[in-house]
Amino acid sequence: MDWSWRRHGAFTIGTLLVGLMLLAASAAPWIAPYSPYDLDVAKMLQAPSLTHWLGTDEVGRDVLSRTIHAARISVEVALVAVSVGSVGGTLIGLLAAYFGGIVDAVLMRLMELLFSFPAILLAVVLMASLGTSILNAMIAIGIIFIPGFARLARASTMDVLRQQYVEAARAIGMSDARIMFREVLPNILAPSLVEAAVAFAYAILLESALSFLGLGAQPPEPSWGNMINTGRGFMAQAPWLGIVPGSALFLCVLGFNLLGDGMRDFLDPHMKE
Amino acid sequence: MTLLEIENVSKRFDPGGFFRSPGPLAMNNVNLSVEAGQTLGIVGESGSGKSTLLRTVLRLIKPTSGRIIYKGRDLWALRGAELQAVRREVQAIFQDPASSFNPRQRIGAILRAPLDVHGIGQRNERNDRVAETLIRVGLPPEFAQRYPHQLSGGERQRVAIGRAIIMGPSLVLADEPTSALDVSVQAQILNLFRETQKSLGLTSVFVSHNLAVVRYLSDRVAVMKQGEVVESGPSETIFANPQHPYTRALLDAVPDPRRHRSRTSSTIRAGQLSA
Amino acid sequence: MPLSSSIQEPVLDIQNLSIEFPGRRVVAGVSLQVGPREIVAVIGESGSGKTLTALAVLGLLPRQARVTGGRIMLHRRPMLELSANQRRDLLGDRLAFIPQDAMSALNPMLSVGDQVGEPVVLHRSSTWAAARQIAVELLRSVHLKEPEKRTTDYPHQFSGGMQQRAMIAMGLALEPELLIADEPTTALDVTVQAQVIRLLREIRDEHGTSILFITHDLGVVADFCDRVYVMYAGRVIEEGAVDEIFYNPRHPYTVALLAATPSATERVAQLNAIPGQIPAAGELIAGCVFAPRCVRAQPSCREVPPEQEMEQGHRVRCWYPGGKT
Repeated sequence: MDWSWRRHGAFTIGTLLVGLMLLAASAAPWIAPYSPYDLDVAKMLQAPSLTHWLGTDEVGRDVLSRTIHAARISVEVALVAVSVGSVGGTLIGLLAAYFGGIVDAVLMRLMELLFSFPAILLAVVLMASLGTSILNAMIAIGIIFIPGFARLARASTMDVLRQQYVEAARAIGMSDARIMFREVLPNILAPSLVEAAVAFAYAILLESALSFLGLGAQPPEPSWGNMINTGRGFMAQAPWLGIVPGSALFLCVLGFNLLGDGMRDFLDPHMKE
Repeated sequence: MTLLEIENVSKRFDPGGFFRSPGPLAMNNVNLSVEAGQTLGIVGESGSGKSTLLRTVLRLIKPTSGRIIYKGRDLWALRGAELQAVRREVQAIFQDPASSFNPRQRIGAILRAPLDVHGIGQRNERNDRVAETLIRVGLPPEFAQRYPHQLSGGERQRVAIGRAIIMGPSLVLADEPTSALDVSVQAQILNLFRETQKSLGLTSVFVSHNLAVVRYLSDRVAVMKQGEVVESGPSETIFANPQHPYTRALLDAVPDPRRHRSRTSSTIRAGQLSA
Repeated sequence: MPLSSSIQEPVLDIQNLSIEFPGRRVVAGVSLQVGPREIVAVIGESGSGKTLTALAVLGLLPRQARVTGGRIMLHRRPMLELSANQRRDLLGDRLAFIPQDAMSALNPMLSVGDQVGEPVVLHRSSTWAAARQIAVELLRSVHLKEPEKRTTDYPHQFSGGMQQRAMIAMGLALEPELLIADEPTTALDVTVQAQVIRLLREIRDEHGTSILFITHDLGVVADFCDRVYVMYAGRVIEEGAVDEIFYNPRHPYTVALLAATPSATERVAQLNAIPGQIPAAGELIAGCVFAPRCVRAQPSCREVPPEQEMEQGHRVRCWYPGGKT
């Protein structure tokens, strides 16, 4: 395969950004210079310096350390949410397309119902009924993703069902479950994986939005959303309080989107040697 | 012995919905029978219902009425173990070498699938059988490690034949098995199909729009037009002396280098004389 | 009677054409002529370079492909040296193209009449109203029933055969000097195919249009062409009058191809398959490209094969041609 910067540059940048983010999330306690919780009122609202590279917040906590630790929450939430959404959605789409008729009609109407709710509103309603906790945030975001994955899986399943190898599998007497999981599923995963990368970015944004609204991660737990919310109050005196988590969020969302675009090329089975 | 009988089979595709009128008849009262060891070729143009017919025998499309009798048993009434046993004996070769294999499975896994599904043999026995089958269809056993897209069209059709015979079937159904191939490769596949069929004593039914291919492979021929069989009989009789006007029209329409040779050899000489 | 290209100036004259994709040569030194009122077939299997040769004439090669040698003259116009604008002026006017898949060549959102009349608007600055009138006549000339009613139809309302007729009508709009048809009947049923071929021959007889016919189907060639070029792996390996090629084939590949073709009109006990496979596009082969699959091949065949003129206009690129001498 010929490697060219124009083709794979975006993918490389995406991988680097996502890698950085995953590293921050998994190794936060070791790479963060300070604890994210240690208060030191004497040092509050310090500008970036050699001791505190990205400054300190309104109670003197190290902003860099809090930003690194916040990646953890974001990844956790996004991982669970995307898993719920992709597994649930792909399964629903696969079943709907495979069995068609009534099954298809009922499942897909349900998906449309879910899809027509504004995402944030749906999350807020779910949180209001389930209680505000980080786990409930994960599930709420995951449910939001289900219709998207379901539609995608349904469309690609329809494509695969037209292929003769499915007919060939039926002709040798393969069971429905086996056809679905052995013949169809591997061939519809590629678009779902791309969708998952993009959904990951969206999940991180949603988690930040919920935390910003006070519905996600609860203080003193650091999250980019609640850090931005805090920073909002100090925009004039201490702009780094909002800018640092905001930039982290931006880079992370960008990274996952670039990665998703790049994955499309790599997941084509015809490029396997 | 009659192996397969198609009795008064009709198929109407329902377009769905409560208020739509019923769809057109894809097959209208089709009657055919195939003797053990014989090859029946079904020829027709697009929309003739020939592929629908093949799919009703494969239990992929349920006929609206009529019966399909295999070894004296109604194919669509079979259930459970009896059905699985018949499925082992009835295998298929599909038309399009590009889409008839799962692109994410290696050739070995594709060939082994029927054995896996029917639980035949131990794992290493199955792999041995895969290797034997590859050799039988003229491919090196190492091909088991390859992916479908790494094979040429002709090689894929060899694999398709392999997949159909690996279970030791009695009846093989083929849908335009060579229509996507180049002439020089088509001849290889046609010959392989014939040899395999002879050496294994298979009965086969295949459909094609290509009259030349049908003539080459078939003992008996059925000509279909708009869902009906308009003429059927021994291959040589039909091709040498077609009775139905449609069969004659089809034969007249086929461009054929050999006919050209016999037809124009006299005019060539006349032309050469005058030149 | 077939015209020998030496007698009259050819409509299309391709000399020594080579086409390359990055790193691989797909057409190597192809020379081909189409005389006035002549129907010439280029026959070959996949990878023979037949379609690329035709696309080079039209200037429609895929973006990665490059012409690396030779020249193409359409009535003394050097096609390879024309600007994009000059070539556009010729396309649809002096030079028409009929593709394999009429369904995808017709725009589904425009009526058939508007598409058939479009060349007249583009090249003769006609009004759309006048073009529609011309379209009706064109559709009539390709034997479409009730052309007045059908011009307002959309392509999906046409059968495959009717779509191909509409494509031919569009190609005829400005009475081109040369019609290039790339497998125009491959997607059609045999009875429809026979009608389309009859139509093309009628067009040649009535309008004097030269036709370059690209195909893989030996039968179609035998039934309707004057002269034949047989291509294999990017080269012309045999050329001659259609009767010569079928009655007295000389190149082992042509002989083998005929022996490998099943017949509907004759009983064939056993087809002689050609062993091996068509070489992958651009595979480098020293000497004769067919040598690896050839039954007559000798060590000398590994060198460049000569071009031999067997009889008037019948050329073979082979050291050991078969047939009568």
